[in-house]
Amino acid sequence: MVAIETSGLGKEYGGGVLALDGVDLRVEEGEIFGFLGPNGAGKSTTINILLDFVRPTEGSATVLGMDAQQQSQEIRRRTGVLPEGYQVYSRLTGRQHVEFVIDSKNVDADPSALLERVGILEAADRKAGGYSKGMKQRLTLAMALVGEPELLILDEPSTGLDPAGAREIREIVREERDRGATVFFSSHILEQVEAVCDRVGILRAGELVAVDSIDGLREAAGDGATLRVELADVTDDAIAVVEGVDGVTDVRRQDGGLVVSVGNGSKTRVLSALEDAGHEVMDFRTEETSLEEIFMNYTEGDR
Amino acid sequence: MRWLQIARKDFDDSRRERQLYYLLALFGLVGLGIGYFVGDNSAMADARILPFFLLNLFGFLAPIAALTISQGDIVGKRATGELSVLLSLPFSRHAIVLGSFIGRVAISTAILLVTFVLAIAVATAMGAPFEAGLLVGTFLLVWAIGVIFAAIALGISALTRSTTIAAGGSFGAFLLFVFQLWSLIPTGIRYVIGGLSIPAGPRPEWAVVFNQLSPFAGLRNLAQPFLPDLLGDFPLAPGAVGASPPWYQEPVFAGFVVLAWIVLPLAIGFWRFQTTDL
Repeated sequence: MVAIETSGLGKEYGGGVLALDGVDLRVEEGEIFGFLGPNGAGKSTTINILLDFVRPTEGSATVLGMDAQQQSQEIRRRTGVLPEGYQVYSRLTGRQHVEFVIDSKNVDADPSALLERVGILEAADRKAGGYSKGMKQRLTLAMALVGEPELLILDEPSTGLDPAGAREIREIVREERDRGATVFFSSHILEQVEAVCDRVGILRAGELVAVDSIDGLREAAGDGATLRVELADVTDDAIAVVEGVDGVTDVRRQDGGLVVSVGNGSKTRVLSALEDAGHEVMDFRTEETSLEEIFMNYTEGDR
Repeated sequence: MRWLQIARKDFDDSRRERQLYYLLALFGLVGLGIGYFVGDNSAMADARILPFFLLNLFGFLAPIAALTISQGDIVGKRATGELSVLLSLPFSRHAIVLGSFIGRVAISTAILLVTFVLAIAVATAMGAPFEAGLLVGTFLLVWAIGVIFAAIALGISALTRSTTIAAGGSFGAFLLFVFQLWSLIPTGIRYVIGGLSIPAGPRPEWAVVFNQLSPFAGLRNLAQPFLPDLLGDFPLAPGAVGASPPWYQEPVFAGFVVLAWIVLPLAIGFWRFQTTDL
């Protein structure tokens, strides 16, 4: 079954600002889907449409098989949400926050168990106004987990967390998936998504530019190799020479050397072209293209 | 009953709002003042004195309180992101408007109750005569004024995404009804349709009816049969109710006017709130 499906989803805000343009997205039930893109790419707009905070100007969206506009309340009953930039009620304790969600969803759940799971049980009866940023984020996650929702929508869940905290969140996300939940997880930081997601979608300037597994993205980014060449002397001419070689997609100057993105089979040609042109190659090595570079490729420059 | 959860939260949260304490202190002081004044002059020995002062002062102050506490409610929740939180839970927008309204009415009720109890306690302790029926009637009247203005301010608060517009709109409502700019509207219309000349002659019936459609006039016309002694001269509503009132001053008609002033602002605010992006 499909957990989230959008077709031709578009949103134009007043003043002609096009936030989303023809987004066709399909998130399967039971997967962890990473929704990636730089800030302002339209991630929050998409999530806001799924939750009916914002109405699309084009296309439609269904969540758990229900229309996002017509059946929003039922969708939200079966979905756990971690909204972006959540402000806690400073006067209420952590436990009261979780209890409010339990009441609103009309479910049976143990606030202590939820708070323990996110690691703030010892602060459960303190007012949330005194929580650190990371504790507030953990509290928000506990609220999203109430009632074992079928779908979790987490908007930038690692905001305000240290690396250990971010790792704990990923652990919880995996546990939720293993329980059978679908997790839709947005982030502008690739590494958080890379470690945990079954598939990712990359959004850029309101358009979905790629949807694939991490491995698939790696493959799609060419044969995935970067060649690092140390030269005795890095000159513009050397760069021009490399750019002229077949199969080279990108050349950058870095720390007294060149970083060259190439397809398979072109590496030796790059080296020989340099030597033929009289540049002295001191050293070279090849690296697998990092996901960060793939991400940058998708989200920057002209495509 | 989800709106009840919202209402309870709205009421509980209001304890953080500092302006509420100022408002409560101000009202409490005025209540004490009235109680002391009436008690000190208890030689007048008329049970109508205390309700008269309470009605005329709080008829004026209750709108201020209701507008102040309600105007920023929904628009403020929108600005702080609290709406996104509530709406990511299974609350409908309908429940949010209704729950916020009930919450604000509860706060205004609490403030007025404290005030009335203080005033009545001081006055009777100092020997002023006490007539329960009149005082309860007065309280209900002032309370209803609070309800109407809470509905108007909350409607505006749901209508706009700008806290400035919400505040300005509520101030406009205050001028329109408490300062009775409302009753100038028919005169303005007659001025325009009369070719920009000062209207002369008796007021046409529609102008008279229009005046009786203001919230204060509606309340006065509705309550007149129950509190005739008190409402003979009610400065916040234009005109007076005669022995055999015309149709537009009949209590049943007035009841609809009052109801409309509560339902329509909320309905218009909700209609806009329902169709808009957060």
